[in-house]
Amino acid sequence: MRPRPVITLQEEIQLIDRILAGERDLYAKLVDKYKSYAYTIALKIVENRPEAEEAAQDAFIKAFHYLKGFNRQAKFSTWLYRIVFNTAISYKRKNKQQFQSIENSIVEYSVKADSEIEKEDKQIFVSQAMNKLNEADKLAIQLYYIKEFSLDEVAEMMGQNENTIKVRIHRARLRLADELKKILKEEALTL
Amino acid sequence: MERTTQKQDDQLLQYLDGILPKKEKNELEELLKANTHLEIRLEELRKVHTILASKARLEQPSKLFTEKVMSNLEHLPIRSTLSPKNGLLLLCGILVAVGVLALLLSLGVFDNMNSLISLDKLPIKNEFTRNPLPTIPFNGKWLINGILILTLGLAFVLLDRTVLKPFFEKRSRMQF
Repeated sequence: MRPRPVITLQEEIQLIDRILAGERDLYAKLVDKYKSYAYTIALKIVENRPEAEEAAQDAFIKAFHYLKGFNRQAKFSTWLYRIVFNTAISYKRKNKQQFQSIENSIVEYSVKADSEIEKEDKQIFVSQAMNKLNEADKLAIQLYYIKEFSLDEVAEMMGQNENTIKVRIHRARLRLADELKKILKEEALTL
Repeated sequence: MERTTQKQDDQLLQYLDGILPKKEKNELEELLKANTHLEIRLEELRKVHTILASKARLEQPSKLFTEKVMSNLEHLPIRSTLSPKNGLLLLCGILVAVGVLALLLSLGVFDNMNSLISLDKLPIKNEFTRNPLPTIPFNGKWLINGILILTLGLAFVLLDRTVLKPFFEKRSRMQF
């Protein structure tokens, strides 16, 4: 469920006006409100926690400097997410060769309950299946399933129209189902 | 094994998302009771739906995130100061200048700009030079040709930075 915002949209516009008028410390309120959303988007793109943190911080700094150009007809969040998306994509391009996904590369060895192992196996299979998707479909589906982002927000963020995103999500789920079926069949054969 | 049709897959996904119209939903539920294969497909898709929903969560950045942003607010990220609009205007200006120069060149305006530059005539004291200094031929047409080539090179760089690069970046972002 979407967490209750600390400040309303109307208050947000007033806050932006005050920041632009010189009360720059108030920007911390906006950062606090949107930091987890920005960080989540960046993390889904760069797949590396320290890098995602850096990209999200950079995006907030950029947004502060471009705040004058923010069109009040749009939602601040959507405008910000687009900046985060573009910044994270640039980070991913720059550091593609340098980093490996921490999430995917860390293997923990410990005694675990059967249900936990089963859950972990499932996660591994899903990750394998996810890797078969193209980058855009993978990202669209990941963002769509985070309940906080609506379909039009995902579309706006990725700079594509809503129908394209719908098709991507739809296609990705069908592909995932087929890939999972294939992986599980292969697993069953190797047992 | 029988495969579900595209339409059936669409319906099943809409059913899982809870956005299938009531009439179609009832029809699908009836169909599911009679068609085991469709039911299996629904379970496959439901599994994906459940896993994706369980994996999706809002991540939390470090505790010092806001402080770091606020302390670096003055550090403006590096970006090109040339906006695409200004870049294009500048590019047009350069192309007009190149066109005018090329026209003047073809009209032979610079043909008479030939002379010899005698280094001996330069105000250098004789104690520094023992031998007479050479005379260098100067051709105005060559100079203008050189300027034209350099300007065309600059125009190409501008075209790359302001039009081509942003265009291809946008296109690759669309494919991303």
